[in-house]
Amino acid sequence: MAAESVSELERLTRKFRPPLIAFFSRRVASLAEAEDMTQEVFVRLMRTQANIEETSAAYIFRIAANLVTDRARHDLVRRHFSDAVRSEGGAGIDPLDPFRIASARESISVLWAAIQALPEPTQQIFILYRVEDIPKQTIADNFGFHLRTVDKHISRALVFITRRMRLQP
Amino acid sequence: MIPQNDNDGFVDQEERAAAWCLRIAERPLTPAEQADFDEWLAADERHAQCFEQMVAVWQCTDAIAELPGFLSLRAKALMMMENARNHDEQPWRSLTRRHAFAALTAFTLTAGGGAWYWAQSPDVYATAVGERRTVRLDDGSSVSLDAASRMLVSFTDERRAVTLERGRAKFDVAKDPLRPFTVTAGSQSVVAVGTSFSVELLRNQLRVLLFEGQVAVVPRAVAAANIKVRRPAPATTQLVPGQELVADLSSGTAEVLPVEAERSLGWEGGRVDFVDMPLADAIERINRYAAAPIVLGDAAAGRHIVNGVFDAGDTDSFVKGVTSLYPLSARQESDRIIIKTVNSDSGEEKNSQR
Repeated sequence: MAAESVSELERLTRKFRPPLIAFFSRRVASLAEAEDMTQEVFVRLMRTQANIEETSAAYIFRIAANLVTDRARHDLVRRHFSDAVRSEGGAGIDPLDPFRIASARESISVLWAAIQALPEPTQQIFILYRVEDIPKQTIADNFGFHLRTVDKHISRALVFITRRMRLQP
Repeated sequence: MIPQNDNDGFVDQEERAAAWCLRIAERPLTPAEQADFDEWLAADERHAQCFEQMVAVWQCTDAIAELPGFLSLRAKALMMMENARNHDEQPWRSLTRRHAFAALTAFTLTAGGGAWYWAQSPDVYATAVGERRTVRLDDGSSVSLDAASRMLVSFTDERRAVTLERGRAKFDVAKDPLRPFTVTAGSQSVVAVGTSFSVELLRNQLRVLLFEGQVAVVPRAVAAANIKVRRPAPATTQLVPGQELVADLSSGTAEVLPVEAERSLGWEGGRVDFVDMPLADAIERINRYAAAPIVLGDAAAGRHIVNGVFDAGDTDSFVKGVTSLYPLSARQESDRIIIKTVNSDSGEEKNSQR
């Protein structure tokens, strides 16, 4: 059971680290601090959640928001980051807010179409890594690729999908 | 909006943004990397925007990961990796438990498993809470769909494939030996030849009950099992009439139990029947008919064992029944009923005999 909790934590970490870093980066003065707060989220999560598998994005979001409230008082807001977000107007999705993501039905269908349009084996490698949580090294071993090639496929998929998302009105 | 091709430099920046997102997903950044990242963000305001877009895509992927259509892409990806490995002459590298668990989970989630061979989109049949419906399929088979259930039907010249996504259905299958009739639910497939059986998906459990004829229950996690360790595929279970297979969807274990078929068909006549069923599962059945669903206030409450026959839709009797039998309290709250352990602080210990 303990082994599975650890792997579950790893899974959550991979999934939530980018949005947490992005979330904190907008609100604190440096990435070092964003990194600290991201670690703190997982520490609190481990402390409070007996059953980590049931952790929801909303719950993680709440921990993160609380951390910001606790600390933000004496932090300078990062000007360039928050300005960039503001200039995007309503188009910016707060990367941690599951409700807004769920409501963005149109974005979901664009995302879905973009993933379908990915060429082989980029599509499969992206899915194996991002959705099935299979380590890059394992993917590389199985396909007989270099680790760098796997990295390239995942990164290419991300760029491809993001461009498609951006093209929508 | 960022112009896409204003210069080549920007295309590079997109790749940088993706690379940052991926590195952040893998592990904490070193202080040197943190400084690099800060510098990169400060260099151009579009960098932050671009990074956020990558993160949004990263995050949004979860929202579609479990859509039925997406499950076929996932299955395809796993199959492709499996095939790539088999073609490889290299000795098998042992995988971590974590990976095996991930792959197993993936297959368990593939409720639409087997979907990758579907050329066309399947027909969808669904019932609302409290609604029951009988469907006649093209081949002459008939399906009785319980409340709050959903199934996909996909027939080709070679096969008749049904996926039960949630709830319960009873199948009366028309004989057609050239086209096997399969029902996939959770991690298992039920293969039938001219037969009458029901399939039910609960939280973490699959129940297959055979009334007449012959069915075989085949774990769908065959590929996942091969990834885990090299051992023969889990055995197929053959059922004879009057038997019920109860499979645990997370562990993959299954047992075969004798049943009283007439009682178990009570739901077709508007009755819900429980034999030694944990409250959490019983509530899932009751909620198929409940205007105000029952919600458990604590996990311990869900472990009490429920027996009895109730009228479908009569949630009140059910609630009264379980709260009078066990140290549970019920409270109506707007559109739902919450059942929880009385004095839930000590509930966890008190109910550990289960």
